[in-house]
Amino acid sequence: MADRDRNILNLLAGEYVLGTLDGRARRRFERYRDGDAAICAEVEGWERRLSGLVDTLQPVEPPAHLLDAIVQKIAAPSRRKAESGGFWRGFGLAAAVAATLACFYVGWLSAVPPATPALMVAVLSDNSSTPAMVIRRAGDRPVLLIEPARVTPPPAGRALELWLIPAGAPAPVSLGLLPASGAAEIALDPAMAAELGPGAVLAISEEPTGGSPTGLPTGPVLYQGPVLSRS
Amino acid sequence: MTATDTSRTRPAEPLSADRPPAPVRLDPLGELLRACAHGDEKALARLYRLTSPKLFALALSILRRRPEAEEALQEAFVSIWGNAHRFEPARGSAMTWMVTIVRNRALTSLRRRPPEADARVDQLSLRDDAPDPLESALRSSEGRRIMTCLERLDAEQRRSIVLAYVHGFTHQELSRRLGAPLGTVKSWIRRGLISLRDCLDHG
Repeated sequence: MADRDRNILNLLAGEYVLGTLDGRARRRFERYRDGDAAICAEVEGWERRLSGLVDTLQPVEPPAHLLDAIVQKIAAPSRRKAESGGFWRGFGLAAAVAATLACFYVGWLSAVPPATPALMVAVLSDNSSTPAMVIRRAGDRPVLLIEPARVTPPPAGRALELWLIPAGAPAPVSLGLLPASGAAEIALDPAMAAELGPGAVLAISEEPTGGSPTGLPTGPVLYQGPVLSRS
Repeated sequence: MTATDTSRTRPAEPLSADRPPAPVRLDPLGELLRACAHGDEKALARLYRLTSPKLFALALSILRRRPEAEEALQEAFVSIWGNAHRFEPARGSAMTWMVTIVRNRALTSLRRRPPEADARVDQLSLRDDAPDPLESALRSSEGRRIMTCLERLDAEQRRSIVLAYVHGFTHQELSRRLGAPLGTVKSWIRRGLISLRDCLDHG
């Protein structure tokens, strides 16, 4: 692409994100953007640059009931249908969000690794080095299969939480909570799947039900083991 | 006692790294988004507490009506929850991602409003003697980088860009409110964006 075209595209993306690209021009831009990684990158660049402008606003505490309403909605999606507001309005707004995420979605699709099936396995042992469970990736599906061998269920009010420490990372990242038995299938997001390679470590800690309140392990680490994978 | 024995008998210890720091780390909000992707409702509540005052201010400044802003924020957070697995830290920060969702949701409502309905809330909107947006922005630490770059813009360029971003003003509205011809406003925006981009990307 010529520099001049690139500059025009970049400015269109800027006006699009700013919101001053309006009406037909806006819709035309969206049609070009969808599925086009280069335009998406320009849009994302402007989203990054301009999002700091939110700091020009004084923060306003939303009313307390709003969080309850959100939690209720995500807990019971079926309830949404019964609410007033109308099908079309809901449809249009969902479409608006989909448009927001279009670029992220494209990125997600292109982030799916090529067809070589992944081979990844980790044996987690307890603190006396006794193997307690096997964790493996199911082919190239973004899923971790967790098969307990000798897992002690956590006491009441506590839960097992699975952590990944990517190679070279200073801190673990939660992959989710396990049922008391330890047996589970955990969905992996693509970014995490990419980290499940040699040098990474999987570990399980005991946390309050609902998971670590801090985003980092707070309870004892019960089991851990290195990730072994075909490279 | 050998090193191996020590490691066997020592009590469980917090996970930590005896390796060099990673080149890419998730910010705390990114960690919470990741937990949301795994169905952790407590993570959503924390994410909400940390970000909702800024995001609500944004929805409110675009929609200028509390009930609509509340609805927009609520729906945006339901979307954030439902799409958390699509968030990719390599493509931008968690805050940028959430700001984008809230802003697009609010702008969609704003653009659907009949024009006369919007005129009725004019008294709530920006007063002519409103302070320069830069003044309040300078008090915040997070946006300091963009503020430094905003400072380098001409006052008109800065004002047009900030008003378009935080209030959702179109070219026509900016032209009316700033009392300048449409073409002038368009060129303020275009030149302002170029300066902002060059400053943020290179300087």
